[in-house]
Amino acid sequence: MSDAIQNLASIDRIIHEPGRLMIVALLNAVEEADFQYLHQATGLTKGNLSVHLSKLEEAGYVAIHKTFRGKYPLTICRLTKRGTEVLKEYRKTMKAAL
Amino acid sequence: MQDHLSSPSFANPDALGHRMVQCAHNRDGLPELVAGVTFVIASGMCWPEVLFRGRPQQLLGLAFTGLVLVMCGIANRLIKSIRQRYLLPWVGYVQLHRRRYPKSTMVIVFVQALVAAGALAALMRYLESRDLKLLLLPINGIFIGTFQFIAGRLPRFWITGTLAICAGISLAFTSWSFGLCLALLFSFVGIVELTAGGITLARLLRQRTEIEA
Repeated sequence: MSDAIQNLASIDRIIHEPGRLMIVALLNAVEEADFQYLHQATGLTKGNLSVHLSKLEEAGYVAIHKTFRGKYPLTICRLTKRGTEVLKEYRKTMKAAL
Repeated sequence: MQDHLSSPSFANPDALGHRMVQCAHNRDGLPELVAGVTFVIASGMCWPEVLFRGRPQQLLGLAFTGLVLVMCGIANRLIKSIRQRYLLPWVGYVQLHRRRYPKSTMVIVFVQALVAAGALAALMRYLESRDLKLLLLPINGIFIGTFQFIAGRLPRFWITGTLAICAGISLAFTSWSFGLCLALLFSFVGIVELTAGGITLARLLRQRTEIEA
């Protein structure tokens, strides 16, 4: 078995989960986005999205802060530097293996 | 959700992310509404020419180019400001990466637009109305249709794109004047875009209201 395929075993499982991969891929494509935007764009339920975001925040891949725009509350999410690096590494490993 | 998760997506999260942003951008129908308004303005510029035959056609070509350039410049800002002001609870907040184009790119685009306008003006001056129709109407229809296919990747864009192509080709073979056909093409595409965008926006607003209820 080649090294590229063996490396798959060491892939980051936090990012590899489909729901979280969608969130991270989306946040990588934008500067920042709020919870409602992520909910609309990913099609995940609010509960599911909330759990995934908590896991990503715990891992230090996503930074979350709450604010207001007028009376409308915003939960703004942004990919951290660590998150960007992990996604880059993930992309490299998957491309090499597939 | 399944649509985004075909296996190549796992190897290429960048493409997945951009596709999701694109889908979210088209979700509320605002881009179509702005495009529809642009086409209606364009057709509005054609109708006086058709009805009164007062202005030279070359001016029309230049005016079109000006309109396209202005709309390219302001369309995204306009859509963003409407979303932030009125549709935030429906579509959410997003800040895209700031893309800064080098000045050389802007100059190249501007020069290309001027050359295209010049070529259009020359064609309008030297070609017969019948040849103009056969040449420009299908090109216009195909250009609008292709843009829809590339930009949208959604069934409604395929429908409006196909309608634009069919209208452009069909009008080229009628016995009406070039000006009238162009006015009809733009009016038709404008109305189709406004209808598609309006329905999409209304559905989104209704969906949210139903969830809240």
